[in-house]
Amino acid sequence: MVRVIHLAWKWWLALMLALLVSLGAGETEAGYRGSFEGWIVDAETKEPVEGVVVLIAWVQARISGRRALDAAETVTDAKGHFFIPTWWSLNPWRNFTTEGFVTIFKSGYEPIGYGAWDDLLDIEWGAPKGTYIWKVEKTGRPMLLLRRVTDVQQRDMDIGTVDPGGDVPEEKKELLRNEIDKEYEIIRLCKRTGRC
Amino acid sequence: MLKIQEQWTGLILASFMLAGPGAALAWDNETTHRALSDVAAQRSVLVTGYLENGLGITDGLNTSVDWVGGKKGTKKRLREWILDGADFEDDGSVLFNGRFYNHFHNPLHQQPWADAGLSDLVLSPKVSALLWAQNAGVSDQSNTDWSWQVTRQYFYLALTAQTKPDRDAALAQTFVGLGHQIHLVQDMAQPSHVRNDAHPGDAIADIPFLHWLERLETWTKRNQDVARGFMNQPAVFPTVDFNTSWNGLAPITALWDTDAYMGTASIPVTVT
Repeated sequence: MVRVIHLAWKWWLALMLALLVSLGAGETEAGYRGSFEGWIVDAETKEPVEGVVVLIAWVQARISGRRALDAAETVTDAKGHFFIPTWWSLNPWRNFTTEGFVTIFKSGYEPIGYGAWDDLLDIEWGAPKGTYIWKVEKTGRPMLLLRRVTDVQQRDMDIGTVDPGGDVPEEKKELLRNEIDKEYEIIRLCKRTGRC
Repeated sequence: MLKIQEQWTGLILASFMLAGPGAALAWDNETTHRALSDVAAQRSVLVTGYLENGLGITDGLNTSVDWVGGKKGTKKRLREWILDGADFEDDGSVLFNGRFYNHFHNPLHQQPWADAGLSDLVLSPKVSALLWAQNAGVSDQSNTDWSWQVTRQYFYLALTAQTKPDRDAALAQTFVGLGHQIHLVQDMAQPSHVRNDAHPGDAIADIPFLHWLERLETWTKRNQDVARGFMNQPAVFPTVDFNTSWNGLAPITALWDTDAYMGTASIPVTVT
């Protein structure tokens, strides 16, 4: 047994060494953990949108799949600005394997997310360029585009997957849940009364 | 020889030091499965008035019901219960009883499909997704049973239980069960899941220095907008007969396999 533990420890050290080497060689791409800062503007008017919920979940990639270790949320101010500080752990492996996943939502608008912040900035999740990002400052802070949706059927389609669900703790997404509930209520009233 | 065995043991142990309960070997449960399930629900009979007019569920899929047994949250809308079911079908540990090991079905095997599950791992052969969906031939009972038959029992209770909390809980469980079921159908659209290919590389491609292992599942998660573009294409409904049972299995078996291929097709040869 001692021999097996010793072997496991050796492999663990070898893995850590390989990680350090590959980091030094610049061959890895560790996920982005923050901070997360930017502005949200209306896609049509380019005016700032206030009261948009921005949720970041710090998701760790593991051999057994992804797991949200923590989450934080905020709302945009009158200038459409949001800021969520970085997350870090005392465990360097966790820091190396964890990245921020973002959800952005305000009732009446098309949701953005749930996906890796890096992928949103780099490839816009495969969407045509300019779908989500209007401009990016030299500092890397983006101006994100939020599209207004008026069609109630479309809003009903959109709302289903806003909640990242799964591992993100309920108490960490209260603002988002409130905004989702608001949207559901508007959809319900629209459908009931026919007046939207 | 002994040294090689010890090294493998060390490697496996080191690997599992990084592992824990979670999902692997499947579409990403929190992005792809949730999105697929919501789109499927929105295009199904569940939004054409059946819930409202047939069952008196006034707000249809957007109706909130309580179930204290909910894994995350106890009050959710029916469509959210479906998404939870689709998400949690991937539960379990890599080492012990991951549900995801039972999400494979090789259609080249014929009825009764006992050997049509995943068998290319060191671990013992797993149950075919088709049988797993109906809890048929499942010897490991350590997982919660979300089979079609049990889901139908919840539906019956949702209509007949004596108190409203009991009916609501059973209704929530009916939709959680539905989510578990459609997860299994969704996996049949991933080629690895229908050719006995465990594709473990895709499960670990999220780890930074292993990005090069990325395959279809990780790519789909990273390119959600392309995936959603596919999901927004017109729906195709399979022409299967839901009145025929298969060797004692429920008619929904045909959503996985109609046992039509007899292994006689010629293999195309490309001449260069």
